[in-house]
Amino acid sequence: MPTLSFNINDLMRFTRIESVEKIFYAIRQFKGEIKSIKGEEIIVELEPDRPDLLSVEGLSRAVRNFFGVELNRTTHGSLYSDEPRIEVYVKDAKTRPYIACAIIRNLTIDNDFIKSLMNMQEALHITLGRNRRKVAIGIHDYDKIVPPIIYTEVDGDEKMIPLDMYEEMSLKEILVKHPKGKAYSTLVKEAYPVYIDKKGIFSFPPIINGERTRVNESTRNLFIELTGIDEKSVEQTLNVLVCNILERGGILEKVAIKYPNFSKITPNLTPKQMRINIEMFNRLIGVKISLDEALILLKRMGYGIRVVNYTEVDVIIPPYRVDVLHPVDIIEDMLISYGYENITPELPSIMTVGKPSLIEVLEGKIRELLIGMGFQEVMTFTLTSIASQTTLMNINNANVLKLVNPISEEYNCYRFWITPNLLRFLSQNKHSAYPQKIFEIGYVAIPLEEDIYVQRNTAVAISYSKASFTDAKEVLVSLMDGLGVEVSLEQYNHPSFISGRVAIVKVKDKCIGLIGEIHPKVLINFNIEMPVSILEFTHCQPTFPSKGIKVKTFKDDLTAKWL
Amino acid sequence: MCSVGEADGTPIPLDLQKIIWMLHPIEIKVLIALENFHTVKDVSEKTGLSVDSVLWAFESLKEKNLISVDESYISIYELDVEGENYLKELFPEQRVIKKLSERGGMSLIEDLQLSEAELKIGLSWAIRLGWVSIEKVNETRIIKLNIENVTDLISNYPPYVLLNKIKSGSPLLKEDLNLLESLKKRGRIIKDRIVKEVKASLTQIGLKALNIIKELFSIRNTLDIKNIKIVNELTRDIIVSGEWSNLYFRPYDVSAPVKKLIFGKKHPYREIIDEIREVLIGLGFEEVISPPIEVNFWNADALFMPSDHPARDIHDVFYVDYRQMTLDKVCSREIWGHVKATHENGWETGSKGWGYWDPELALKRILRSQTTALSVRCLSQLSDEDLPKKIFTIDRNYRPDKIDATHLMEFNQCEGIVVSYDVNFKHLLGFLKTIAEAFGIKEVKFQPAYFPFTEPSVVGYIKHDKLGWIEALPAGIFRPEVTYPLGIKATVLAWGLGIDRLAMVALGIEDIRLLFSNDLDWLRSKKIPSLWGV
Repeated sequence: MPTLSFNINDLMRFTRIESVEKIFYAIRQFKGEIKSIKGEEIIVELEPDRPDLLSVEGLSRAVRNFFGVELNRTTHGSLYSDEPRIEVYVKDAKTRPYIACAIIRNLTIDNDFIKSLMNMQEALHITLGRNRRKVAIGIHDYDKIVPPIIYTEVDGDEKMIPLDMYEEMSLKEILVKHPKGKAYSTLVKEAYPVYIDKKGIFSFPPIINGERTRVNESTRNLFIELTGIDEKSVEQTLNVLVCNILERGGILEKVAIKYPNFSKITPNLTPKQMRINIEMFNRLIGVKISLDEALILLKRMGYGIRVVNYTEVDVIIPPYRVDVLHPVDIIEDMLISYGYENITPELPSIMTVGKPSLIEVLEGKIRELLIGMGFQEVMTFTLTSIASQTTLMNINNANVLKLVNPISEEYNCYRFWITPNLLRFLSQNKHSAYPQKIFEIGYVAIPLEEDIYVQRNTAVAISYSKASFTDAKEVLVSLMDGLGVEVSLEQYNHPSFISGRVAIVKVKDKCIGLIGEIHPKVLINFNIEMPVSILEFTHCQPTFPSKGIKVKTFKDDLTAKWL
Repeated sequence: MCSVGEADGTPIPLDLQKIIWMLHPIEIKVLIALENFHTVKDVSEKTGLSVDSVLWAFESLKEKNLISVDESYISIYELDVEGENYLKELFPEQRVIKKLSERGGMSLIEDLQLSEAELKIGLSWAIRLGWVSIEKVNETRIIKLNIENVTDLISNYPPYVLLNKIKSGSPLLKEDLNLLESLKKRGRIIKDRIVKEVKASLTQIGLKALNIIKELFSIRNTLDIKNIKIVNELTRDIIVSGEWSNLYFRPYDVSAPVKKLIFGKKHPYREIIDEIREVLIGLGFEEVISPPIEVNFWNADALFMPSDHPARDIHDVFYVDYRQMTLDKVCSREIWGHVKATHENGWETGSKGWGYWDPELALKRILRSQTTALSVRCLSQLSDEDLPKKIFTIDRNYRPDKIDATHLMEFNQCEGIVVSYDVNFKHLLGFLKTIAEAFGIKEVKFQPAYFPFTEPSVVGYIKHDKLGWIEALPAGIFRPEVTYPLGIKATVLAWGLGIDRLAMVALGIEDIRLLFSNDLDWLRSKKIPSLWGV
């Protein structure tokens, strides 16, 4: 989630509100969490759905509206010139085909402004820009640009002086040497998108601007350029950016974007409309408000209004509110404006029957019986390493569900059996009193040719100086007796167990699990010095919810897929 | 620490209580006997215990300051060789008169066939005692009996009686002493030796202890000690034979330490999960469980999360190495089409949509990153005749987080949905408040929140005594973009419960890794937690 730092004095100046408490209250209403306050600096965590709030200008605008603080000028709709004077030509731009530009004139820029611009840019990069992949922003000193401006793709050997550097570098070099180049190099493949003016390249989106057009305290006019892979997102980002900068003053000038076959004018700040039914609000929230009340709620959230009839309003959505997709988004804003604390919680008068899942019922019985036999329940991770599932268990080949993007070798697959986890557990508790009797009930997953099978297993381990097959078999027989299931054992060979002391557990001719004494070689692999006997069986196979499908359990027709 | 009261109500000193608990049955018996008897011999006789046992008990009770023991030295008389002999065969003088009376009271000495001892000792004593007299007739000597009560003298001859007394250990009387002295002069009949006599009596503490014991065992008659049987253990035989009704059971030191048992129990986290399940089932929610290996479609697309949503990035979702799912296994063609259209242009939901959708991504296999995947799967199975419906799940989810004190790759979520035409946001808050109250949380506050698939969204904070406000109840109403494509026109209230966090609070742990603790000692010793604090 975006975390921003604000200066309290800035917030008070921009909101025209003196009370810090009032400002904090509003920030919370806008889903902001105040993380810390250090002197004048407050750290706020905001949600990514409202990119317009991710700067002091935008947040203050929202807070101002919320408390009905009037300004002399509106924030949109009247500050831009009708006819663009500047054109940007787009030629052969394939990797980031969509652009949008704007010019803002007559600004007074100080250090705070520059800092705010950088923060705004960064916040938009992360959110709407999807880390610059979807949208990237460049802001330049317009007076240092010599038109015509061309957006195109060039060879990686072309050069410019990137920001914070003193000498020319080729675009290729920038990707290797410049910190921003290194950070975002994966976003540039063979083609190198650039903005060029008469003097050469002044921007290398989505990586870095040129030093030549750097914005500083003497800058009066800004040239804003965006590039991206999604037209709507590029234009929305520009809208948010422009509206927030204009909170500082200035005059917007549109820019004509000339594609080879067509042209368009950016930014397009024409507000969108959405029709809201007051009854829909009342029904969804469970309150009863009038049209007049609804209008007040809407205004406080910065919306324009056009009343249609007694129950319907056309809501005019400011161009920076790019998050509004559906009337429910406006309804939530109205609810925030109404105040969550003003809603009285109430239980509905609907009747339903509560019941546990059959899987939980079955597992509850297994758990109870094992605890009755003195076993301690343990809970381990279902993610583990391929090595501990196989090699350490003396197994050469097995169907293991691997993770595509593991974050460490220790957890690079989903377990297909629980026994290795229990052995690891035992190896970490050699100092504890013996006998150690533990069990776990949990998921295993087995990728077979036809599908991935997810099953739930019960695994039991007994360890002490004389732990034997008999110990495990006693548990099996008693457990199954308690559950009313008839099992049979069949001699079997398994590399993890001592040959001749391992068997397959069968219910109605279906293999459900394994029982046996762990092979000393495996014990050594796990650094265990005590004999261990094991029982592991599949007790059910959960399915995705579907009408008429009964959960398969080992009582009827279930085969352990991990065997 | 409690103490057993004495009859008069004054409390017993703690150490005395402990002393009583530790007394051996023999000590208890001896202690009781000492109320009336004092010597080893008496106590041994009255209790039926061997002298050695009594002496041991004296020693042991003395050490505990329950009795004082007096030792004095006295002479003890015993029969010597001749004495033993006389006891068996009578004194020689007795034998003389016995033989004489058998021969009619008069006889030639030779005819009596007296042994040497009878002749030398017996005859002279018989004469001295005046029992017989000797007359010389010619060369022969005739012995003549002067008394008539020979039989009486055989059994009641005072020296003989004295021998019997000494042999049997009967107490000697004063008048016996002269006779004793004279017998001693006859030599090798009686010998005496100096022995130690041990006499015990109860101390003040001992008396107190005795009273407590009498109280404990309800002993009234301390004279009948032989019948006071004290045992350590109740056995099957004692029960079956009915002997228990005559027995006293040795009291135990109830404060004595014992070893702790190792017993099986649920995982502490499981304990919490089961408590939560009970509450939700009680609130009319139906539980569902489903496989955590999912397909992107249900984990994100059906939740109207755009294809390029950051939470779908490889840094936020685990992808598994398996071919993508075929469309027919994901959902019906109808739902697939609706979801696609909703993403692309809003379809019939009233939404603008995202303007794009990546069907290939939707088919990729992943590990579920939120149980909401299951909630929407359930929704897709519902039709109007199933309503109203309340469903919940508590299940495992996965996120590629580096493991540290606050992050795990695996975590549990609890979430529920309420599907009905007759519910609204006010009811959602009602459920959240009720769930919180079910766990004894009195204060809940609600704040606006953001979740990609609910609008309006809310988060409930609960008040914890020590930790203050905890963010615990994220919730909201599913967006129409989520419900309409699944054929649901009813309102769907959805809420989650931060159960990892809740469990940490209940278990009093700061490090989330302890929830999956590999420490057997911790699991064995952890007290059984409860969200209700019981």
